[in-house]
Amino acid sequence: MIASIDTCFLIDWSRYRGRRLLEEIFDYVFVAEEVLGEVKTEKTVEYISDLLAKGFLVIYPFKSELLPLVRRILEVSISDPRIPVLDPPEAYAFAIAYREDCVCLTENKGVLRLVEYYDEFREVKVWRSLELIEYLYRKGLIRDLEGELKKYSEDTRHVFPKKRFG
Amino acid sequence: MRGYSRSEDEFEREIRRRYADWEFIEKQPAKIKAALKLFVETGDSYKAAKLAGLTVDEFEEIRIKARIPKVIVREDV
Repeated sequence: MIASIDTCFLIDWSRYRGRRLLEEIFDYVFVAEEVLGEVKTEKTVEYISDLLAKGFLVIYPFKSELLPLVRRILEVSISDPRIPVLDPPEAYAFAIAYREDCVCLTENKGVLRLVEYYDEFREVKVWRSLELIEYLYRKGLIRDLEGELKKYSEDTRHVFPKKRFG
Repeated sequence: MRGYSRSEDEFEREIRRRYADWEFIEKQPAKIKAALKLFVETGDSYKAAKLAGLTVDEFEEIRIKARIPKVIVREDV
């Protein structure tokens, strides 16, 4: 399985004590080169450097071919008032997932709404940290789902409240 | 006017507001303070980082110190 990862997700994941688990479920992960410019702290640099050295994190090599798709994604997000405006890093991560038919790892609300509202994007699998950790649990790579979510929350300051929306 | 705000957006925003360390936020330099408040309202790290003139990585360190969570809602079916 292959994924495309956006900037914020990768930086959050680098702070998680279970970050090595990403390598257990994906063969490799595409990233847009802009992500590297958003990395600064020692812990994140070391993690990303390690993943690049292993060839697990792959800087997407066909970026110029994505331009029309990225433009379409950004235009939709700007013109449709139901969708929070995307920024280029998230648009590239989503465009890579669309083009390569792989999982998009992002928590960006604009991406989530694009998939919800637009048939042309509906088939793209978008996973937040919650879906990724749930997948790890289903695959038996973690034993205690709630315990792992608690660890992720402690390391990255996420919360996972339950809520019913009518 | 953009109308994307939905009930789950308001629910998430309320949690960010409630958990945030407002004393810490108010003590920050103007741009950092504005960026943290933008994050509380939108949950968007990238825009907040750019407003602060920081990388996303640097902004995330400050967000964690400000105790503002990222809210991932689990739909209770």
